[in-house]
Formats: sequence, C-alpha cells, structure tokens
Amino acid sequence: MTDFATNIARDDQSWTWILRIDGLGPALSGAELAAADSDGRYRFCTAIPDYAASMPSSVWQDLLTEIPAPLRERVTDLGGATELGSLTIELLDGDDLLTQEIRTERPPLTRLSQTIDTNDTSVGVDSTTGLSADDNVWNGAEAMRITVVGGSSITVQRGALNTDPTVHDEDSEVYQSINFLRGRRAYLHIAPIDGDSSADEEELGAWVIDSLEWSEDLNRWVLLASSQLKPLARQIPLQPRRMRAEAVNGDPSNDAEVILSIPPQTRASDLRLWTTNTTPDVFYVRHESGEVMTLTGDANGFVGTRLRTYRRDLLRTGRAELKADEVFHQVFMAEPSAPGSFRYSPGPSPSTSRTSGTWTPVAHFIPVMAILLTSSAREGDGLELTNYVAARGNFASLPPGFGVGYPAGNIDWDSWFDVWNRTPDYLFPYFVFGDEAVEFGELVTHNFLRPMGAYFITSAGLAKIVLPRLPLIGSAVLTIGEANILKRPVGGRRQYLPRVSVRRDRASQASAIRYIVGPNTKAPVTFHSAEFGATFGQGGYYGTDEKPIDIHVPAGDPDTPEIYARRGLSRLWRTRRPRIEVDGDFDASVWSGLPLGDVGELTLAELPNLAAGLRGWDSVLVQHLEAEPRGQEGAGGGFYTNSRMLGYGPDVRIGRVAPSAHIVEVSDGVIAIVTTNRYTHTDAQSPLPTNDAAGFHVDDVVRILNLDGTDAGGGATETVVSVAGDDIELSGDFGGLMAAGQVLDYANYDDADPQQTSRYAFMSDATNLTPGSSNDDAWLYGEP
Amino acid sequence: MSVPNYLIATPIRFAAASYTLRVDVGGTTEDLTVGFTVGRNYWLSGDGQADADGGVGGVGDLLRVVSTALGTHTEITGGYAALNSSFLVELGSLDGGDNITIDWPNSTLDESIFGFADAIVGPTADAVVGTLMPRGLWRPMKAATVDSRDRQPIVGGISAAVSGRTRVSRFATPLREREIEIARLHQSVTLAEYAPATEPYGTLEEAWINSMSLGRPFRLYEDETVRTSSSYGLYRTKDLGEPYDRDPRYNVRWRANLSMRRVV
Repeated sequence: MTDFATNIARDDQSWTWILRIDGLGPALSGAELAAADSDGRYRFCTAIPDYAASMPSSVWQDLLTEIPAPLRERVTDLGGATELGSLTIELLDGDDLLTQEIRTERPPLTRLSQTIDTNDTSVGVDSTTGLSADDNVWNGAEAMRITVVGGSSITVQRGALNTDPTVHDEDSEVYQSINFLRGRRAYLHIAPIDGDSSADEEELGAWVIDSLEWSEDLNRWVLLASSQLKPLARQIPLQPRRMRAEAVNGDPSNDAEVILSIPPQTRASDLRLWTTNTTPDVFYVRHESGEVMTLTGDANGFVGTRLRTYRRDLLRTGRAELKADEVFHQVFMAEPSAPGSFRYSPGPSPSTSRTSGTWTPVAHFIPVMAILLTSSAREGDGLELTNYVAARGNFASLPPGFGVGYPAGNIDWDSWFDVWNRTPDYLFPYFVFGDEAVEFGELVTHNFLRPMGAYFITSAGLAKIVLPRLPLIGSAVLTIGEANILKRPVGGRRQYLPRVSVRRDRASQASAIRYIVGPNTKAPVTFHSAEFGATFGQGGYYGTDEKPIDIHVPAGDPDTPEIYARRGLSRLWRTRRPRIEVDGDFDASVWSGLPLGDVGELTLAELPNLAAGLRGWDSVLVQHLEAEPRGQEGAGGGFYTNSRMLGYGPDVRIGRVAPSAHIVEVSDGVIAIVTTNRYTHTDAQSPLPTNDAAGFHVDDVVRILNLDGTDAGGGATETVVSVAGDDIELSGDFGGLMAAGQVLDYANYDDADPQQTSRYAFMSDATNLTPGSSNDDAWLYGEP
Repeated sequence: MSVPNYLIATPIRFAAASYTLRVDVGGTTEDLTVGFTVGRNYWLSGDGQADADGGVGGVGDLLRVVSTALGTHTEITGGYAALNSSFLVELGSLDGGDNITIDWPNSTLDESIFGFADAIVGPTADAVVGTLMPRGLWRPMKAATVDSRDRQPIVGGISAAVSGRTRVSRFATPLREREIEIARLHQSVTLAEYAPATEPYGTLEEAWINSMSLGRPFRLYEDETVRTSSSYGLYRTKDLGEPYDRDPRYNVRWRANLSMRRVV
C-alpha cells in the first residue's frame, strides 16, 4: 500500500487514471454511498485500484479505452492563471452501461408540484409512481438522491453526484436518468493502483463536456471536453446590484443628493455593508459614466431612498453630471482605510459578524484575491462569513453572489501568506469590482497577477499563489538532472538521445516594459533597456525589435511608481534577454514537485553555457511554464510529464539583503549570542528566517562591525560553524576582538563563500557596479 | 564439465510489519514473530544477507529472517531456514534435539511463499521440508544460449559537417543493459498452464506477470547453485514485450528473451 508521493518516488509505479462526471452515477443505498466516500459518481478508470475493494463495485467501471490526453497546463512567463487544454475521453460501452445510463432523451417521469429552494429536502411532485428510495432523480443540472418516497412528495439529499443545489420552479421536469451531458463537469484523477484510499487520488484537472461522438464501430463513446479550472471559470458577481436614480437634487457635479430606486427603508445590513448602528452607512457605487463615488445612508443605518454623496471621483476619471434615470451599480473598492469594502478578520479567532470583532480594510492583492475567492457564491450556500481557516483569518466577507465560494480548506495558505509577506507594498487601492460579471481568472489575471508576475495555480488539489524568485540559501529546490530526463533510442546499438529540445527564442523579447498604472493615467511608468546599459546592456540583442510590453495596472496607484520600478526592472531583464527554452519529457517527480511558475535547477551536459563559453548546464535555474502529465503504454511510457521551461541563464545574480545580527554576548570565545529579532520578525514566512541568527548558514564567511559601520575585527573574517537558536558558532574569535555590542555581518564580497555569492550580490561598488574587486557581474535586479 | 544453469529470483514483499509462525518443539508451542519492513524486497536466496534496504529497495535474505525468528523459540538453540539441493525450503534446528512441528494453519505467515501446504507439518526430527518449490524463483534448468553480458549504452549524438569534421556530444552513460536468450525451455518452466503441481510458481510466466513486468527488480544468477551476496546481477526489465515464444529451432520447446537494465 502506498500514497501518491511515495509512488511517485518509486521505480515500479503502477497507476490508474480515473474519470468522474458530475451527475452520472448509479443508485446506491445509504451504506453504499458512505462506503464510496459519499461520492456516488461512477469512477471510469483504466484499472480498478486496491482500495476500491471496500466500495460498492458498481461505482468502479474500468471502461477507459486509453489513457486520456492531452492535458496541457500552461502559464506565461508574465504571470497569470493556469490555462488548460481540452480533453478527449474514450469510454467502452461495456455491458451497454453507457447506453443504459445516459438516456438524455428519456421523457420526464414527473414534475415538481412546488418551487423549491436550495435547502429544501422535502420535494412535492405530481406523482411518485416509479420512484424508489436510493434512486437518483435529475432536475435541471442538479441530481438528488431519494431517501424516502411519500404519497405526493419525496425526501431527497440535495446536490447528489457532486452537482450544485439550485432553485427549481414548480412544474419543472423530474427525470429518472441524467438529463443532459453537455456542460457537465468532468474530473480526471490519477492514483496508485495500490493506494490506501481515495485520498491518494491526485486531481489532474477539471473539464466541461462539450460534445459526444461514437467510434466507428459504435463500441466507444467519445467525450470531448474543454478546460475548466475551477474556480477560475466562475463568473462573479452572480448578479450585479443595479440601482436607478429617481431624482438628483442639488449640484449634479458636486455634493448632490441622489435618490435611488433601491428598496425603501433597506437596512445597511441587507446590503452587507460595513456598518454600525450609530454611524451613517457608506458604500461605493459606479455611475454609468464610469465614475466611482461613495454614497451614505441616513443616521439610523438605513440606506432608504434618499442618499447623499459623500466622496466623488474616486478613480480620478472625472465627475459626471448626475441626472435622474441614470444607472448606478453597487461596487466594492479596495481602499486601504474605511470605508474600504475588502476586509478580513485576522486569525486565529476571526470574527464571523460584520458588526463585531476586527475587520481590516485591505488593498493588497493577496487578501483581496482571498476575499474574492472565499466569499459566498450565492445566497444559501452557507459560506458567507463562515468559509475560513481560523488560523489564517476570515476572508469570506463579501455579500453572497459576489464571491467564488471556493472552500477555504482547499487553499494553500502558506503560499498566499508567503507572497503577501514578501510584498507588503503591492497595493491596489483603485481596484473596483462588482458592476459587471467577469470570470474570476480573467479578473485577477488582468488586475493583479500579470502586473506583479505572479501565478494562480492548483497543485495537489490546492489553490496556490506563486511569485517566482531565486531560492534562498538552504531552501529546498527541485533539481532536475539526467536521472529525471527521459531518453529515446536512436539507431540500434545502445545509442540514446535525451528527449529534450532547447531553443533560444525571441518571440517575446522586448526593449521596454511599460506599466500603465491607475484607472486613468496619462503617464505610464516605462523601463527601457537603454536606461540600464551598465547592468544588462543598452544595446538590443536584436536591434530591429523595439516593441514594448505593455502591462496595464488599472487598480494600481500611479503615485507609487517605485513598486513598478522594482518589478519592471526584473521583468525587463527577463524579457529583454532572448529566452532559452527547454522542452522535454521528464519523470513524474517534475510534475509533482515543480508547480507551474515555480523555479527549479536543471543540470544537463552539453547544453551550451553562453556565459562561460563552455558546455554543460550545472544547476541552472529554470521556470516551469507548461506541463502535460502523460500516461503512455510501452517503452518510454508510464506516467511522466512533458514540460516547457524557461532558462534564466547560467549566470544570473540577484540583489539580496544580507543578514545581520547584533551581538549581545560572547560565549566560549567563539559563540556569538545575538539579539533574537532586531533585523527579522517572528512572523516571517518560510523560508525567510524568523530570528536574526537563522539568517546565517554554515560556511558563511562573516566579519564584525562597530555600530558606526567601521570594521571591529581588524580586517579578519571567520566562518560560521553552526547556528542554533540565537547562538552563532564561529571558526574563531577575530583574534580576540569579538565582543558584545558589535554587529555580525557578511564578509566583503571577495572574501565570501561561493554559496553567498554564486547567485546573489549583497554589495556593489558604487562606481563600477561590480561586487567587491572581483570581475563578477553586478547584481541584475532585486526581487521580493 | 557441465554448464551451470541460470536462475532468476524475484522479490517477495510483505504488506504487514510482522507475522506469526507457530512452532512446536518437544511439546513447547510458541508463536514466533517474523518481522519485515513493509514494501521492502526480500529474496529467497539463502545468501545470508541481512535485512536492509541496500539502496535498491531491499537485499535481505528471507530465509535468514525466518531463521532468526526460529532462533527465538525457547527450545531452539540453532534455528535455521535454508534451500536444499532440490530447491525446497527446510525449517529446523541445528542442535538436533527435539522434534519440530510447524503449525501453518495457526500462523499468519504465508506458507505458500516457502512451498508448504496449509497444514501442520511434523513433528519431524531436526527439520521440516517443504513439498513445493518456493515462490520467487525461476529455474529454467538451462544455461543461456546467448548472453550479451552487461553493455554500456551512451546517451549522445554525433554530427558531421560536409567537410567531415565531426562533433560528438555525450550527455550521460546510463545504467548498463543486457540481453539473454535461453533456448529449448520445457513448457513446464515457461507457461503457468503447464506448471507441475509441485512447482505451481516456478514458471517464467509467473515471474513475468506478477513481478518483472511490474517493474520490480530481479536477480540473475549465472549458476543456480551459487547464491551468494556477490554472485548475481540486479536488473529490471527494459522491455514490456512478452519475453517468451516458441523456440523456432525446436517447436515443442520454448525460448526466453529477456532484455534487462541494471538497477544500479
């Protein structure tokens, strides 16, 4: 028995591919459903795994005629959300199972005798003839499992077979078989044959079924499906809140009183505003001209029909002349102070009420995305203010219908907080949302991910944020070498070639990165390579291509150009250099161990090192941009990934802040006991150090300084021998000069150990921009 | 001088960390604990190698493990488990004292691995002997007719200019490869269909389907009578094509063609 990770590491892996389709499953008793992990859908698979023995045999159908492909997953080097390719699935109609189950032309058995809400479990029907307990019935897109059949009603479990409970109207049709296939979600998993349970299944992706074909011999059903990476495809908001101005009193371009046609005497709490009962309620609206303003209700907490303007032209797009009959939409704006509408309640004991506890308005893109992702998708889904992981805080704060409704437990919060902590000033105070329905993936890609070069991916079933950077010293990095690269035979006499192709691409080469920041900026922040001739060359690699890359940041603050200077410089460098792309077949450890957008190390002989003029790449950093998990029979097959990676080049050096530590005591002559947190903070996210001593690593070469910055060690250096708690043991005591009150610091560049300098530059000569007196390149850019 | 017969050993794996073996010696019945590492490879070799991963997923001699367990019986001073010259497993005591009985029905250790029936065996003086070929061994009763020996493949390429100037790239020297052919196999050691009652697991088909084609490592001994810790090569199959067919030169016999790659 084995789990997924263990099986990946084995040399004798055995896998099964498993396909589930929402709304398609057999009738199961309550006990059988429980045994099937409360998931009654069919598992169409290539082989039945060992753990299926404890489940009802009817749910496992080894009918896949081939391993589904292709499943290409990709991101761009500029950041964004994952894109998935389409999927073709071939199922054998063994024992005519599919013909019997997928009777989409079957007439309805009965109709609802009442309208039912999403939570109703007692359902009135015109007739119960032909219905039995444990049967599934279908109404619209939802499947329901019957538990009790009464005279004129049935008791059901809602949302059976992984469908979504929805409102159903009286007289809507009730079917005895799945009523349609097109538009249903299909999920593909892979699992070790000898896995312990369904928990060892790894999701490869989700698709929406588009069409159905039959094979020439009519034995196989061929399903064609397009990608749907939940939750990226979810449209938010479900229903924008539209209001009409009945009258405008006063100065229409200034402090007018706007009378809106919203329900009279509506309490602020009905709109889920951030409110108390003692202050007027303030909320954001977007006028049809595009102007965003705040309106305020009356002193009793009612928004009523008479509202006064509070602030105008929040996006600097110009003031409109407000008139009666014009349309307003309620919107949500990420202002970092009240009345900012994106708020979260910090953990570990977050509030679950808008009128109590701490609710912090935020403009940072990570919490704003978390709020959009975890907030309730619709009334009655039970997620409003409750969909959170306590230790991380409550982000599910938008009103129902404005969020994606993604389970907070399915989020890799470590990755989200890591990026948040690394980028505290990446604020988007002009982010406005809510007046039109848009796909979540498109919304966050356009507003946040692409501007910042970050990625939204799903890995191991968890939603993850990746902001690539070079690994820190001591960080775990996936290394890819000849043991991970598949080979193919050429000729017949024990000759092989690695299954990789390498090319140097100029497709996205650009001479400039232009950030167009803010909702209405006329002055883009532009970074042109000519401005950085001293660092990475002012001349173009290809002089004919001067096309800039425009990155629009509509929610960004044009008054903080320094943020975009930092991001622009690194991205200019990456896109300015003609890219080296590595495309090849790698073993499954690359697929499971290197999420898309993340950075690993590639070692491969014979690849030209264009910096050193030698052959061979040794631990060269590569960014994983595309992955296609493949299963293939025969030699060279098994479970592996075809991946595309972007090489950073063999000689990149990143600017980093070097660690420091204030010595409070010297023990045993060579142990510097240092202040715990003078330069670091306890809440730093891994792999950043949470105490000062942890910033140092064994073999680092260090020096000691006085507080005025002068050398206190007579020019001597020592080497770190060990680090434990606040104790840094050194190879010596600087000739007896080490004392309390001094600062431990990295040695000069020329004296440092290669681990301190091979990828990082921590100080440079201000005149010639070279580190120390060496001939090494200066640092190219900094990164968070 | 006869040419020694080849032998292929396939690994035995256990799903639990311990099993019991009920042993009676001179009226003293004890349930002995036989301990394993779950998922590790064990070999019915009798080469005495200790239970260890060895960097290859397991090198332990299964007979040594059982021998150690027998030694924990209070009435046994020299427990042993071994393959006799007929490749049957013997379980017993070296001291030659009391009669020994193995109670397989009341043991959780799988008797079929060692070639015993699910019955009480004994009492017998010194040792009890299995009646079937143990699992995990394929004895072709032949030597190889063709053996490439271990050969070094190359991952690399070669290009030449029009002028004839040549550049060679070499990326790696992968694990060595080997092909063997064993001709004129008897059907009883080839197909499970013809397996004799005394050797139900002794066919190439059994080894192929249940172990080698799953990617499990296997040992190739060039002399089935010499099974020491250094007398074998450890391989995996490098081809999932069926490794046996009718011998074209003698059609009532069979021929095995095994393509393999070194594990380390």
